[in-house]
Amino acid sequence: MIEAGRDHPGTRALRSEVCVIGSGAGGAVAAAVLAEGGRDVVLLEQGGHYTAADFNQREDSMIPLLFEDAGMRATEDGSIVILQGRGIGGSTTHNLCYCFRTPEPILRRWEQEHGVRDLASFEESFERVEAGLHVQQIQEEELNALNVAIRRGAEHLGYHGLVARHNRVGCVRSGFCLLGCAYDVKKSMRVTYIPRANNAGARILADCRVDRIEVHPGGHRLVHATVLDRAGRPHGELTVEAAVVVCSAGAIMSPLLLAASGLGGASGQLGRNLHLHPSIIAPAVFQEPLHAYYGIPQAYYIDEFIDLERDPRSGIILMPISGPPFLTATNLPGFGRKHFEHLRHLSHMGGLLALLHDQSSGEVEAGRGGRPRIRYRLEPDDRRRLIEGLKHCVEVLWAAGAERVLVPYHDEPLVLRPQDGVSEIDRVEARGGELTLNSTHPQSTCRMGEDRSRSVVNSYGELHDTPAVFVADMSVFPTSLGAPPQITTASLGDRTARHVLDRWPELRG
Amino acid sequence: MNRRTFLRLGTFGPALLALEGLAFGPPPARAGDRPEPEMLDAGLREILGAVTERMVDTGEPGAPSVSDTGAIERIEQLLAGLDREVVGSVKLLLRVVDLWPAVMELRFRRFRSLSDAEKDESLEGWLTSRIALRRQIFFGLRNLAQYGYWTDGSTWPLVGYPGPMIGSRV
Ligand SMILES: Cc1cc2nc3c(=O)[nH]c(=O)nc-3n(C[C@H](O)[C@H](O)[C@H](O)COP(=O)(O)OP(=O)(O)OC[C@H]3O[C@@H](n4cnc5c(N)ncnc54)[C@H](O)[C@@H]3O)c2cc1C
Repeated sequence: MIEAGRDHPGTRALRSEVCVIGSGAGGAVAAAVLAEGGRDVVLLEQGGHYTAADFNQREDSMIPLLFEDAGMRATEDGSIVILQGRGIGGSTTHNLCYCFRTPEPILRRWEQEHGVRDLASFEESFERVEAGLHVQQIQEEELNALNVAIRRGAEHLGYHGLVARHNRVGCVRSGFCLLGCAYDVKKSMRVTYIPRANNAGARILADCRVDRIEVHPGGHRLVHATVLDRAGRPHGELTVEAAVVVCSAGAIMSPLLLAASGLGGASGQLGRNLHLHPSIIAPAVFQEPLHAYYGIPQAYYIDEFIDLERDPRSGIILMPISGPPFLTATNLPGFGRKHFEHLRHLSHMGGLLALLHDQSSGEVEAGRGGRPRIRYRLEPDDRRRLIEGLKHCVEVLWAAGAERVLVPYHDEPLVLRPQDGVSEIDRVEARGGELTLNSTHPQSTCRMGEDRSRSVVNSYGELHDTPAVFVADMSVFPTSLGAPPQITTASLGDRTARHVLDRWPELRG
Repeated sequence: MNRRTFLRLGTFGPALLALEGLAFGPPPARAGDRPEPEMLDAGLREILGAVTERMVDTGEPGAPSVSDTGAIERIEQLLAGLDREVVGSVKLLLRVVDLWPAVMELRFRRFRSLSDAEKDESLEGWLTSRIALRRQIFFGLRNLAQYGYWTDGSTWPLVGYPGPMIGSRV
């Protein structure tokens, strides 16, 4: 049973051995592994609990339901929109199911530069998590028209690309993954590890926003939460007393929660080193209708411009992108009739995005009312790489058959046709053209490492400055990952939970 | 605007928009605190309606009007699920956009009483402003308007979108 906090006003106090905060890729796996390992687990999730029957494939219903701040989270200067999930399953409920293991060169970098130990255990966690999420190869016949066209374009230019692996089984190819899977064929946390945790006896409470973790030296930890009603307003209070806390609230909220609790701050690194994998989208119009809002949105990717063996610090991945009307509209330039001149071709549209393995970094801290204030500065070298990536997107789209590609600079949108070449982009860049970037992968704000002065948690996610409080989510990545992160995050949840089980006699206090 | 003024607006890309509390916005609320359901008074609704109409003007004969689509009610519903601070920012911005032509463009009339062409000129001024904050405000309001309009099924034929697959195509 997953309990909806909204049905339980008033004040309550629970006890458990472990309290997990957040039910996304990190928290769901940690809760399941701990419960299956015999521990008494309570999991608190601030968002609601929804099922396939709730996912009606409509943007107006699903965006407010499944996205943190209804998709309105962004950096302080508004230049990068940051999308994150909310609700049982976290971001995995609406993510796009690319499944990549942590790249080998990145793991080596974590070991060499940050002293992360026991790399072999990552491998074991990858195996377990991939089995748990039913990861499999996408089949040729499952590619939609956009993905086929993009592959054609890449092959024409001699660029390397691959059909991806994903965590869908029996996909009906409706294409609405971003709005929650109405068929439960997406093997998100909501339908895999959360039921496993439940079956193993974990108590899972939705609508419970954790505000603070109180640590009693040498004793228990007390987790303080606000219970939210249907409209998201406070209507109750809950405390959970536990020997161990696993914080998996994601890379924006975990550092804020720890800071609000006075934990994890000893190194001065809490909330810092934020990487975003920022991306630029290039929408294009094709002569033939693609109906790219249907079918698996991202089945293929181009990895020609990322070679982590040679350079583990930077690179670009190109990925197809498409969506229903509103999501598409927001990525098109202008307003009114000029904007509609682009949007009217929705059925002929499809795009590519360039995702950056970023060296640039930023920080998260609490702003007014405890809301996250996110700062991030895209360094000139990274901007240059992103723009190179954007030009590759344009070229691939042309080679894929696009008649025109839009580069949505705010004050001077470019409509580029194959005969135009990409040099116009350089001109607009040279005079400081402005593009809105997107991020779906905030990470590294509680980074992992063995040097207590440079990291927030140790190799297994335990806070250096507070025993028995662990972090298991994207915030512990020691560096930018350079690949879609859900498998890495879930594996960290698995690895941290097993470590807790191994050390249980000592941790129980 | 003597204090740091922050407005986080973006595209929803797969993106939506982002608005954050202005420094002189409503009183601080705890993260996650929600406002009361009635969002906008009649005046603010009128401004939002005027902005939305120009933002989503298609010029197509027979295109559903903003009021046909229930766009304003839909935007209000979206706002009802957001923190008080964010809602306060949206209200403030609407007032600023309304007053801007009167005060800053010396038109001596508010946005909502301008002609369509004048409204478009005023909005163009926000879009192409040299001040990043004004451009951010523009995109925040543009995306709100698009959310209200393009998520309504009656507008989908304009862009050839057949709609969700659920129940029909699978
Ligand atoms: C649109 C989108 C598409 C993506 N596509 C892919 C993809 O194709 N492949 C891939 O590998 N990755 C993808 N990702 C990223 C992937 O989903 C994340 O890497 C992963 O879910 C991160 O796990 P997490 O546990 O760190 O955080 P999340 O999964 O975001 O979970 C954090 C949870 O904590 C909850 N929470 C936050 N604060 C509190 C609090 N105070 N109290 C209680 N609960 C709280 C949140 O509501 C949320 O449910 C995508 C992400 C997005 C947004």
